[in-house]
Amino acid sequence: MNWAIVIIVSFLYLVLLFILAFWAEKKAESRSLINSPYVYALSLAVYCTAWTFYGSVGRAATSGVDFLLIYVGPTIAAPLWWFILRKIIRIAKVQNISNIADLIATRYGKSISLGVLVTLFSVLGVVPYIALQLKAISESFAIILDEHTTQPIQSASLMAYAFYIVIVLGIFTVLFGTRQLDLNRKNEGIVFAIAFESIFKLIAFLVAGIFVTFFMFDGFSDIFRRANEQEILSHLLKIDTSHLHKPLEWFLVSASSMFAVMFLPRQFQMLVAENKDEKHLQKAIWLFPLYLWLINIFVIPIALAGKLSLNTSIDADAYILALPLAQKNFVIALLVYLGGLAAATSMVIVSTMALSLMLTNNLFIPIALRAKLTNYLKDDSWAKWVLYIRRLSIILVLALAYLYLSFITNVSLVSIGLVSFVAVSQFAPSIIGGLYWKEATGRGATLGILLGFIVWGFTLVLPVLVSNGIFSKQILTHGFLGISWLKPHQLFGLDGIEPIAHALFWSLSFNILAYIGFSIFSVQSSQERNQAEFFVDVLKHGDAYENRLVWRGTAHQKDLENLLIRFLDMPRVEKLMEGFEKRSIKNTLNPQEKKAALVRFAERILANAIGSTSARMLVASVVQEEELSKDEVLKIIQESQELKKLNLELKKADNQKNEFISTVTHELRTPLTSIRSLSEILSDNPDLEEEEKQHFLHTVISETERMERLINQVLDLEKFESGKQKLILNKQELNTIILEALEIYRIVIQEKGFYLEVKLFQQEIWVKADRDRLLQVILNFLSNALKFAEKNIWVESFVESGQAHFCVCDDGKGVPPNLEEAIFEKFFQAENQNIRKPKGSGLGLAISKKIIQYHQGLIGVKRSNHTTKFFFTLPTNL
Amino acid sequence: MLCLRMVKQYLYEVLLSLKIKSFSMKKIAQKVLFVFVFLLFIFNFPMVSTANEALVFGFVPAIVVYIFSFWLLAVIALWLIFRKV
Repeated sequence: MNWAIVIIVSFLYLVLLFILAFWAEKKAESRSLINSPYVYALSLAVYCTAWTFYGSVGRAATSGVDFLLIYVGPTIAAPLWWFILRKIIRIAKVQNISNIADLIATRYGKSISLGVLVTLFSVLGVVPYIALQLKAISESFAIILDEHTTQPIQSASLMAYAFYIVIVLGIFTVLFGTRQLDLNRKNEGIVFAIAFESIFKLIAFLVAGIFVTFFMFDGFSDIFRRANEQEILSHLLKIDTSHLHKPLEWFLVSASSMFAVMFLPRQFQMLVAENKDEKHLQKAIWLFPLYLWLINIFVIPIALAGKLSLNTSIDADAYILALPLAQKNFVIALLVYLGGLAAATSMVIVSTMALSLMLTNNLFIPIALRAKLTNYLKDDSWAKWVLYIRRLSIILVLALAYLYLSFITNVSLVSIGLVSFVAVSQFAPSIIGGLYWKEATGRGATLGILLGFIVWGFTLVLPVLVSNGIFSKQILTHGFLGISWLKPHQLFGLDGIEPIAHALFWSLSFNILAYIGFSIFSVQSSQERNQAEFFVDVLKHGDAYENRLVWRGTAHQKDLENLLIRFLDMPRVEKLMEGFEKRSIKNTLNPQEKKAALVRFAERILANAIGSTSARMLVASVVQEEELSKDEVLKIIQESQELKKLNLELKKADNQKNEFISTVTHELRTPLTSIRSLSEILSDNPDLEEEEKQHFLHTVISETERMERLINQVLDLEKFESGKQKLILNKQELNTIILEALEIYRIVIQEKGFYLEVKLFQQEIWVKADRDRLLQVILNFLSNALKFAEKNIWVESFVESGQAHFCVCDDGKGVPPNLEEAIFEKFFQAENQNIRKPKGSGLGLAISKKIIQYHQGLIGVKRSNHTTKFFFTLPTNL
Repeated sequence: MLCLRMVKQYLYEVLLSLKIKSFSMKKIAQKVLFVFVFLLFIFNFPMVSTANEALVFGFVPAIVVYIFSFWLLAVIALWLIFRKV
């Protein structure tokens, strides 16, 4: 194909990307385009890189269905996002965490060294992966120009092409990834552009798949039939289970992709840092696996089609592009080329942005602060300085990737991608452990990650260096320093397992053992303990983060304000401090608590600009923190939790009191209004008929009685609740009281036409009880049954396991299972009128509950087989 | 012991996060956990080996049909679980 067309189309595509990003940024001033679960789910498809576009086909053409593990793993993990990622997103929002190094460092006491370690290892693990994306772009460019596809990557024209791509992507990332200092604000332009690229690459892949499957061949069956006919291809249609460790390999590779989809820097950036709403996760949980399903559906047919119809000298990674080219369909070839470009550029942009943030916040700023280089900065130049560092970091990452590209020779997309997967899997124990294990320490995490990476380097990176001639091949054949059990691909004699699974097995084993072992045998600092409590319990009381103040020392408000002014303008700082003051007064903090809250508040604001760990370092330079012992930390946390619990109880009690007063006054007002109106009529109309007068007076009396009843019930309940109520306990025969209650309601039951069945299984049941109170409870049960029964009422009494049982059953609508306890609360029915129309004061069951509790008995309600059963039990041991 | 404690803490949180919400949220979490365990079981050995046979569906190998069918089933199950949340 003509090179000018390819260059112009590529250029136009990149221009379109710039326009879309600009448009999204502009639009965000009025309405955010990325505040949608669909855009969020599509942005996660940055997971599908050039590796998916080209590499999957390559791997399917060489080893069959094994490539699917990279996509099946994230599908298996997707349900877990509901628990793990929801927790991480909430933590990140509260503590202003913007990258994975910040997350790990913050969890382990905002440890600077851990942040540096994670950043360096992330760069080591991901830069080769970025380089491979550049390689894929260059190679696809060469193929579409119909150049020699087996030509080495170092050719000057390809390196020049990669160079221009690096420049354009660098400009794009700098322009849209460093627009603002505030990390809390989302990168609207980049996220929208990535979502667009996800749609574009999917369409391109599907078009290529349909073209190959249905136009070059007669559908799926035709391709598979022809492949089956060739013995050389039949092995691709089955999983090779000939070697012993296949199940372990299968599990390990899918596990690494489960970790990678959450913990690769670019995935973390999109999943957590760019998340606008926690609820978007709910759609992404099924949309993202669906996207993976769609983009993989044609991989095997394309791989087989390539094997069946293309020259064996063509690299299998290039089949998707080579097939339409072989058919002289240049439009589809160009579309596929652009799809590949979209897949690679989205990965390069987001990975570069994520790594540059890690480098800035967790490496360069801490180094500058420690070396006191910042002493030369003016107060108003800090913000600019941070942005410059971010931009330089972007250039550095891309430069490193370009440098790596110029050194590598023939490494396939899949293999280097999996090397990155194993690298980021090393963060999984520290992150997942940190979310669920409070005792995990920074020392354990540091040593775990360090050991994991040493093993990763030894088992995966060293062989690459050997194959590039940097180290002797003897290391592979005879072991490191000639020690046979130190062979990179057969570490400790573990043989017959493919290198990726082998590396993952040993690196994660060492990592986890060190993490757990050193966590057990090391002690947490006060900051670590505090963070551990917050991380593990974030779903319980994440909102109370600012109130959990495990900090002691000296801090001056003016010093902290001066720090904030370096990054924010004066009016904004004043407004923030005003808000802080108001909250302090509202939360009634003592002076020490206020200092601690202020330090935390300043750290949070600064974290928006420079990340959590650098913020802590900067704040530490103007305050004097005292180290707290473990016991002191635990005491403070315990006190704050107890205080929180007490506050909650107080609030609940206060609400109940208010509710109670409101309901009682409401209940009293109704008869009072009626009495007043009728009295006014009687007073204003002395000539009223006698009969009418009598009727009005009768209503006044009845309403007064209703009020009296209510007041008596309220007083009764108050006495029970305050413990002032005295019961006159005597030996009583339960059945006699039941029959007495039934006699009271006999006429009403007959009038209403209910069918009543009474089953008293024992002739006599003796209990120690207050006769009148027990009668009150039974009457209350019967009165409720009469209100709600349809036709039938059953009354039963019996003795079982030393307990006297009494129950009243009816065939009414009943109580929903989740309200079976609430129905015994005061005025329950008054505030649940949608469930039952109120027909009484709403205190009857609450009083009955108290009476039975005073008798050491149990009271409750159950619904089964369309029958509602109100019951109580009383001890029979007199 | 540690693993057991972590699993207990994890399950406790799963249940706690649901307790504060509502009865239906608890149900959702149970369903989500079930889907995860089911997928882990379905997409690993020995289950995948049951489909790793010469059997074909219209010339399409059984293993391909197996993986893509259960994959789609997982998507549908997750969609059904979360559509009303």
